[in-house]
Amino acid sequence: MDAVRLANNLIAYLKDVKPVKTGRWLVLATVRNSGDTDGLLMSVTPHYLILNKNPARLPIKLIGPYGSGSPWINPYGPSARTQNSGAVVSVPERGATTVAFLLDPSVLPEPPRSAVTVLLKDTLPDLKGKVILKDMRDRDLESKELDFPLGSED
Amino acid sequence: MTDSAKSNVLQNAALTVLTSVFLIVVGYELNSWLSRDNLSVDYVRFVPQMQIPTLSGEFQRDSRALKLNSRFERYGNAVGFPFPCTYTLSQRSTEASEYIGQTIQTTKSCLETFVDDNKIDIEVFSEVAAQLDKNPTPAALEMIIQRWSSVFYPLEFKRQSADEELRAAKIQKFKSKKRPVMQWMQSA
Repeated sequence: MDAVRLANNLIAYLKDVKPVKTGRWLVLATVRNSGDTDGLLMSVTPHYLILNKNPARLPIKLIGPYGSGSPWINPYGPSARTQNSGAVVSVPERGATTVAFLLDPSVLPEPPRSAVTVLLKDTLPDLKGKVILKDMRDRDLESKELDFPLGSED
Repeated sequence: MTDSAKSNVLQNAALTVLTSVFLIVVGYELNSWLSRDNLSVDYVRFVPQMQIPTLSGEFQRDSRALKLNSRFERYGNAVGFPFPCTYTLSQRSTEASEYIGQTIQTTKSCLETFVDDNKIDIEVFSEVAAQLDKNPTPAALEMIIQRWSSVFYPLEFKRQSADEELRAAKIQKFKSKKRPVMQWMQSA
């Protein structure tokens, strides 16, 4: 039967399909607000990532809140494109929000583009990163240094 | 009023105004300080972005052909080629790896279910065709139709059976009730 043959073809094809790395990284930062007023993170203020192997401040793009109903974010989807033009993420008073940022080494100037691309491609065992976010008052919010996942864990 | 008294009144008034302004400013600042946000970064996770490589033209053509196969959706047990089986793959989206893995798995199980269901359908079709070829008696034909309906229209068949059972139960209940007229008729 034709439908069965088509379905079997597709199953056979899917057995060989393996996801590949794009070279871009999602940076998911959990931001806590212990104050009495909602806090804001905006895409108009610059946010950065610093790798322990490269001292350059790498700009990361604010995409939006992460994990609201869906387990993933497509940074090139229509909603992300709209948000990039003026995304604002509100962190509720006495609460926390996980915010997604995108690190795209291909848009970085040279240097450090090549060095960073290689670092992130190989994801060395001791590669660590910390983010510096800016709140609405242009105050730095610095994270601890945290590990990048190893290449084999992807 | 003497000059010194006037000066005292003016001084007091000025002091009152200054104190009020000072209290307002202090209150405002205190309120702002107490009711301000206090953000900090608790934890950061780095997730590599993955994507499905470009799907072959053959895959896209086959999946489209399967999606348009309404014949099986209408008559068979198979529910056709469901939406999640084509959507994400055809979008060639870039997502977190676990999501892509899950999508591929779902698609595979959709297709496998589709194949299995169609095999059952084909078996039943073949069996029914073979029975019809033997020129069945009206009673045998009735049985074939009954079996066909129960396989391909399970919901309708169940509903119909349930209606018939309900009707039979009602008749039974009516008959079993002891009414004076019925008793009179029976005794007569």
